[in-house]
Amino acid sequence: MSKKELTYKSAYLELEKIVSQIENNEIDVDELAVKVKRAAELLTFCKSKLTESELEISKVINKISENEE
Amino acid sequence: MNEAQLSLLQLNNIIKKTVNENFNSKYWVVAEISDIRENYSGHCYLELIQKDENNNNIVAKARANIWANTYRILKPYFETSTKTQLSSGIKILILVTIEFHELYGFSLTIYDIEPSFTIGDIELKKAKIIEQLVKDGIFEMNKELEFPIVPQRVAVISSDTAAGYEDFCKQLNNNRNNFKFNIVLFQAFMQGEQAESSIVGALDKINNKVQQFDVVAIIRGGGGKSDLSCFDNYQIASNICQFPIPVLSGIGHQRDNSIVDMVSNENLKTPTAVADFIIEKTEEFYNSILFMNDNIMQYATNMLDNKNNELYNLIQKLKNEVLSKNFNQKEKFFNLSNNLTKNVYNVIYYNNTKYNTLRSKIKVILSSEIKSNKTKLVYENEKLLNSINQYIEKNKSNINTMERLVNQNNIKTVLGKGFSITKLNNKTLKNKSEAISDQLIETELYDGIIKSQIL
Repeated sequence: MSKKELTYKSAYLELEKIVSQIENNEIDVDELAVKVKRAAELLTFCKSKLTESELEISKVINKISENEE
Repeated sequence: MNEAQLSLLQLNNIIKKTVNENFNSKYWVVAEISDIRENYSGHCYLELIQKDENNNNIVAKARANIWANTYRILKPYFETSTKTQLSSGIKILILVTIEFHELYGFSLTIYDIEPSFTIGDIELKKAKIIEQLVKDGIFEMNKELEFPIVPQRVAVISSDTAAGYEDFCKQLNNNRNNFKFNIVLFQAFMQGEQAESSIVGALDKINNKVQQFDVVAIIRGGGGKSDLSCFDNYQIASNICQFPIPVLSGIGHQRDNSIVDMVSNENLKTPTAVADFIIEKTEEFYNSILFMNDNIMQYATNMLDNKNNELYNLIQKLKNEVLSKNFNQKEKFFNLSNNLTKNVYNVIYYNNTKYNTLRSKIKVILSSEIKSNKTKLVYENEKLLNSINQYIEKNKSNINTMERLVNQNNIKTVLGKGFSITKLNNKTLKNKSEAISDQLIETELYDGIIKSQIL
């Protein structure tokens, strides 16, 4: 995955992409788990950013970007 | 010269008299207010001007006043009709008398104001401003900005004391999803002469750190009097139009939209409505990511289910194939065994028939053999019987002779002891009943026979 900072927009676009890939049967069953996990990550990121204070947001972002590396 | 000399008072009195004589009626006059003040006793003092339409230079000026008893009635009447405060910068149509006071000089006394003129003038001004903004090519610019996907960081232009700002913060912070919004206040006067410069100043400040914000909210409201004139301002409107992030207006009004409302990215009635809009947009985003996530999970579940089904079908198919093969084998085997049984039966039947025939033949042979043997046997038997009979016949007389001899010998002994044998017709008489009257009987004794007749 790209190391670009995650934003609401990039999270949204990525989710959208996953949805369309799945809808178009572009994801085989082996990739599925990875995509589902990534979707959950993106959702967690957005949820946290929407409801947490700045400090907690940066923690979440760090955690997610660590996972990406 | 001496005769001609006048004191200032005399002069002023002459002017006063002349003015009174020549301007003794009331006049409708159009003028712009350049200054307006109320004093402690409720009288209103104004400065009226007229500007050159082309270069805005002041070409006429006059003092004016509205006496307290008139002002008490006129002010509310004007302000309710026009939704505009009686303030500097607006044009008014007034009914005046001309006064000249020897001490205070020239002034106008206002008796009436025609609000519809001011309304018309404001509309005209607005139309001109809009025309200018369109001509500048910026009228739609802020409207065309893409609204941020989540308007979480909000720069607010308001006066900090306004109840509207408090409502706004409260509304935004108490949302049901517990979204956290980052609100920064940029103070400005929201009405009056300083409004233009302070609102433009606030916009400049926000623009300097525009990266830190998603939207600007210009809010006002909760206050009593509604003076919207500053929102029909070219400078403010032009700044909003060209602002790099969306501007939301919530300046509380009943009347037609102000120019600020028209050029804002989104125009809302009240500060609370602006807060609701921001929350709504955020919820939209939140719900759509939840929805997408649900979709992904749903698709994933379906996909797994499908794969499971495929697998199950495959297994089922395999099973069926194996079963059908097995069945075929079974059938083959069954047929084979059937055939075998049939063959065996056939063989058995064939053999049985053969056997039966053979048996019949044997029987026939045997029976004929037996017959022949039987005949032979009968013959032999007869032969044997004959020879035995011949032999018996042959020896019979011998035996009889011998028997008689034996008997005679025995009887002689018995007879010798005194016993006798009675015979009838040469048969030994053993029972009395055999004796019949007149019959001849012979009685044999030891030494001879006596013949006698039965009595």
